[in-house]
Amino acid sequence: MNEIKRSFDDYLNATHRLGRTFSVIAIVVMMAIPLTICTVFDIMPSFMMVLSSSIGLMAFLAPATLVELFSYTPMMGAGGSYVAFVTGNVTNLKLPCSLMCTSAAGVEPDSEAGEIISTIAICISSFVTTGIIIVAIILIQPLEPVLNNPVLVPAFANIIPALFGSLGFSMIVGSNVKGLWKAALLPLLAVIIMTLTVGFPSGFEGVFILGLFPVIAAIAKKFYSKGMITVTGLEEYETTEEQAL
Amino acid sequence: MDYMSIANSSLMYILIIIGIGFVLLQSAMHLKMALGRAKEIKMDKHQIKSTMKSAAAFSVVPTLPIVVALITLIPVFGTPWPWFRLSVVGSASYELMAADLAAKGSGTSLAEGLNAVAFGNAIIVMTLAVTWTFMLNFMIKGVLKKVKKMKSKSNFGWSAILISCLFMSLLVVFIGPMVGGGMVTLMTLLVSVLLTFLQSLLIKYKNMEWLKGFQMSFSMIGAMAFAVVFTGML
Repeated sequence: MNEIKRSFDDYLNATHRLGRTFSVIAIVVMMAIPLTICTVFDIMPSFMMVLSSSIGLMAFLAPATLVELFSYTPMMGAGGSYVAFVTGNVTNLKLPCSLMCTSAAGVEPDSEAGEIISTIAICISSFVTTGIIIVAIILIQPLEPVLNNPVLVPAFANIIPALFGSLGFSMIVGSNVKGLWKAALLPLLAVIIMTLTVGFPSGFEGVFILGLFPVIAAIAKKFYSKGMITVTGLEEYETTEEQAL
Repeated sequence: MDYMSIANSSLMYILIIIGIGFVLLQSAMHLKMALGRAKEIKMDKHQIKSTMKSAAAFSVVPTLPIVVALITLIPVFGTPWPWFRLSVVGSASYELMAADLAAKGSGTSLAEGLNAVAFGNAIIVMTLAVTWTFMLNFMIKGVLKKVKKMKSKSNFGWSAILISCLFMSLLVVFIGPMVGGGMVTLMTLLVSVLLTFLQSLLIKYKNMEWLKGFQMSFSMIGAMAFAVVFTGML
């Protein structure tokens, strides 16, 4: 009989080691490409030119990345986060893909099964995206007029509402936490009013997620104590806990 | 030397293929590790297969705008560079913004057109500004430990709510601006909800289990098609 030799923590530690190693190698590999090109073709810009062009961008991207890291990592798990933060397209592709798959599998994202499902989903998503881009490069001539057709402009302009409508429904209906939407009503109203009056600052979604989280959690705590929010599977968990004791 | 001949050179293609190969290797290693662990803890094989199918089916539609971005970037940077940038961290808006900043730093602009040194500066700046943030990945372990610690201090019910609150914040932040963002956006959102709901009914009452993996993709395609029709009607 095969016994489980490693604990979940051992698996997670191995994932972190792999993720960190690849993060460092990614910096080296990705920087090597432009530096090699500039050296071989003798088009290396001066240090000051690079510094003056990049410093503003770096200052802008650092807090944005940091906020994304804090907001999205608990939802994507360890393995999924390492892959997603290197392959990119987090909010429009990797995060929804991970959430959809964990929700469909009926597992919590921070459980062991959730960690595994999320990692598999994000890795497969990364393969599919890379594959489609390769096919697009090969078929670029016939594809260009089709994808740039003005008729299709509203379709691509509305891909995010099309994505979040479905994702939101699946997450609310499929969750084992029932009634949590009540705690989100007031913050939602505030965001809608903000959009209609001063406009929503696009690109700062991560900051708002982190800012709204404690607000929604505080409202949810109050509603939970009043029984307006319930959690299914609680009795099952308590029985398992009692048996374990 | 014309920068486009550098941008479309064989060397550029070779380096880009190596770079993309590296990214695929990373995904393959993490996937192998996760599949190995799934086997070790005897997770349901059907569930794993279903996850792989769902993830693949889901990823097709959101990748299409990336292809559109690719078409936008090719006239400015040649074929291999946008191919690489959009296969790793990067988006059309970021790439164009970074390239314009780099071009201005070299005394020209994207509108005026790049020269060879401006192209060199652009590809270094576009890479440097984003890749150094990979160092922040060293914080992932700490973030997850903090979440685990926070959950261990709470009871099961409350800790489940806490994680769901994070999802709810995500939904509020993305859906709020859509509700206040115009009729087409709002209607697209609602059609997507409706299509997902209808498919849930088919799964539940008609036992169409296979639909689960395609539910989100079909809803997205339907809602996007609706956006085209609805815009035409306005």
